[in-house]
Amino acid sequence: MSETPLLRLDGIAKAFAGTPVLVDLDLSVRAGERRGLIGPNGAGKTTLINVITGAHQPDAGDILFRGKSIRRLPPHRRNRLGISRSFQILSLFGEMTVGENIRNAILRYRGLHVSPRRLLRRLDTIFTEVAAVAEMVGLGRALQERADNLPYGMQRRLDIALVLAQQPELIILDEPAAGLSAAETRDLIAVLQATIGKRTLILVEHDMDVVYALSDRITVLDYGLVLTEGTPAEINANPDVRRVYLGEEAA
Amino acid sequence: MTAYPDALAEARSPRRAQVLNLHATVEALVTVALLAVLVAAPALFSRATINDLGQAVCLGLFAISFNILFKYSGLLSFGHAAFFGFAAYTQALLLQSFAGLPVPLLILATGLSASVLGYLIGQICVRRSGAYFSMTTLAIAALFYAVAFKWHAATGGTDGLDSFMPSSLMLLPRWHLDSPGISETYLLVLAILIPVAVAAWALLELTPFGSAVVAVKHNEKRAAFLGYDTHRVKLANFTLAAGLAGVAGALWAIDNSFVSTDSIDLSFSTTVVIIAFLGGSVWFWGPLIGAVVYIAASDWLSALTPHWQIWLGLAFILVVLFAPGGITGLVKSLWRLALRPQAAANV
Repeated sequence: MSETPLLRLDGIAKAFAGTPVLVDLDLSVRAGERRGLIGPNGAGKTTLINVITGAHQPDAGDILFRGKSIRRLPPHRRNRLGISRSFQILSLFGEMTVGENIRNAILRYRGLHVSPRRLLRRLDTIFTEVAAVAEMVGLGRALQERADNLPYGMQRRLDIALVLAQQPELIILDEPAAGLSAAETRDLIAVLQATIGKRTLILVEHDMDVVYALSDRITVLDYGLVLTEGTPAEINANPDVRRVYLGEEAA
Repeated sequence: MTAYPDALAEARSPRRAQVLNLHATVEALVTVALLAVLVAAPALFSRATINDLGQAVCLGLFAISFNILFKYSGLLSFGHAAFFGFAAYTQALLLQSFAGLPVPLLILATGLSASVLGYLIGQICVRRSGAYFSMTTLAIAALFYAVAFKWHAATGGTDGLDSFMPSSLMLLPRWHLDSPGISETYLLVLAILIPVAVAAWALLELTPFGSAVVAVKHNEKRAAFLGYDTHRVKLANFTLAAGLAGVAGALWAIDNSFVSTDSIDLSFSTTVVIIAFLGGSVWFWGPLIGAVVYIAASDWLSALTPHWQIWLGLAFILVVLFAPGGITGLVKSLWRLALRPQAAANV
C-alpha cells in the first residue's frame, strides 16, 4: 500500500480582502478514497476547491498532487495532471449541444492533434465515446439538444459528464445535488455510484444523504479550519459536528 | 459497446438530423458553386469586371481573416489592416529585390512573416478581450500606419511603392511576363487564395483545433478547467488570422502592382469590419460575398454620385439594424422560412 497520499494540502491559508477564509488548513486524501467535505455556508469549502484546482492562489501553504507541488500551476496544467472539477454554479458551453460539450472534454483529455488522417479515424471513435459518456449519465437521448435548453437537473448531469469524460484520477464535485429534486438526487447518487469506480473523489455537498451515500471519509470544515474528520458513522455521532452543522439543519 | 450505435440512432431525432444534414449539404454546395463562379469568371465577364473582381477576392480573403477572429474567437479587431498592410509592403519589397524567385514562394514567405508578426503582437492583444482587445489592436494599427507614413526610405511614404512585377511563376500557367494580362493575374491570385482559404476553413471546421478555439470562445473558464491552455488557443487563432491577412495583402500587392498607406491606414481596418458584417459573419465565406458586393456597390454608387460613401454608410447601418447576419444571414433565414412549410407538411 502506497504511503504518499494522492492529494495533500499543507498549511493552506487564504483571505479575501483581509477576511480569512482558510486558516492553516491541512488535508490528506489517499488514492481511491471518497472524501466528503461538509460545513456550514462560509466554512471555505468552495474556496478550498478553488485553491486545489488553481482558480485561486493560496496566500500560504503548499498543494501536493502525487507528492509534487502544483501550487504554481495554472488550472489547465492541474487538469492535465488528472484533476477535473464540476461547478456549484453551472458552467457549461451553453450554446453548444450536449454532444459538443462532451466532445470538448474528451478532445482535451485525448490531446489536440491536427493530423487529418488521424483525425478522420479518431472522430469516429470520439463520436462513440461521446455517446457512451452521455449514456452513462442518462443524456443519451439528448446528444443534439443545446445545453441551454436542457432542464436544470439534466444540466447538472452534463456538468458532471464533462468531468467523468476526462477519466480524471481525482474527481472534485462542488455541490452536484444543488437545486435538484429528491427524485433527481436519488438518480444522481445512482449515476455517481455506478461511474466513479476506483477513482478518487472529493465531494462538497449540503445534502447529507448524498454525502453519506458517496463518501467513505468525511471532513468537516468550520471557519476555514478542519473541525474533525472521520467515517460517516463517526461524523454522524460527533456532538461538535451536530452542534456546528447537522444541528443547524435540524433546527 | 455495441449498444451505443443503437442508442445513438434512437437518440438522434431523425427529423432534426435530416434538417441538419440538409443545411450542411446546401452550405457545401453553395461554397463549391461560389468558388466555381470565381474561377470561371474570366470566361464570363468583361476585363473591367475581372479587374474589380481581383480586388474583391483579395479584400474578401482579408475580411475572412478578420472574421476568423470574430466568428471563432469572439474577438473584434479594429487594427487588422496592420497585418494586411505589413504584408503588402513586404511583398512589394521582396519583389523589388528578388523578382526572379517563384511568386508562390514569395507569397508564402510574406504570409509566414505576417504570422510571426501576429504571434508577437497577439501575445499582447489576446490577454484582453472585449473593448480592451479592440482598443489594443487599434493602437497597434495606428503605430504601423505611422511607421509606413514616416519611413519614407522603405515604404515610399505617401508616394507608396510601385514598379515591382513577378517574373517567375513556378507551377502556374505562364503568361507574357512583360505585361501579365488581367485575367492571368486574377487566376494567379485565385490559385493561391482558394487553397489557403479552404485550408483555413478545414482547420477551423473539421479539426480538434477548431473545436478548441470555439470551446474557448463559448466558455473560457470551463475550457481552462477542462485542460485547455486558453491563452495559447486564442494566440494560435490570432496567428492564423494574421497569416491569412498577410496572404491577402501579398496578393493585393501583386494584383494592384502598387502599395500605398491606403492599405495600412485606420480607415482600411474599419472597411474590413464593414465588409465582413455586410457579407455576414455567421458563415465562413460570408465576408467574401461581402467584399464582392462592397466593390460592386462602391463602383456603381461612385458612378452615380460623388457622395457615394454616404450611401454606402447608410446601407451598412441598414444591414446592421435589419439584417445583423449580413447578406448570408438574410439568405439563410429566408431559406429556413421557405423550408418550414415543407417541414410542417412532412410531420
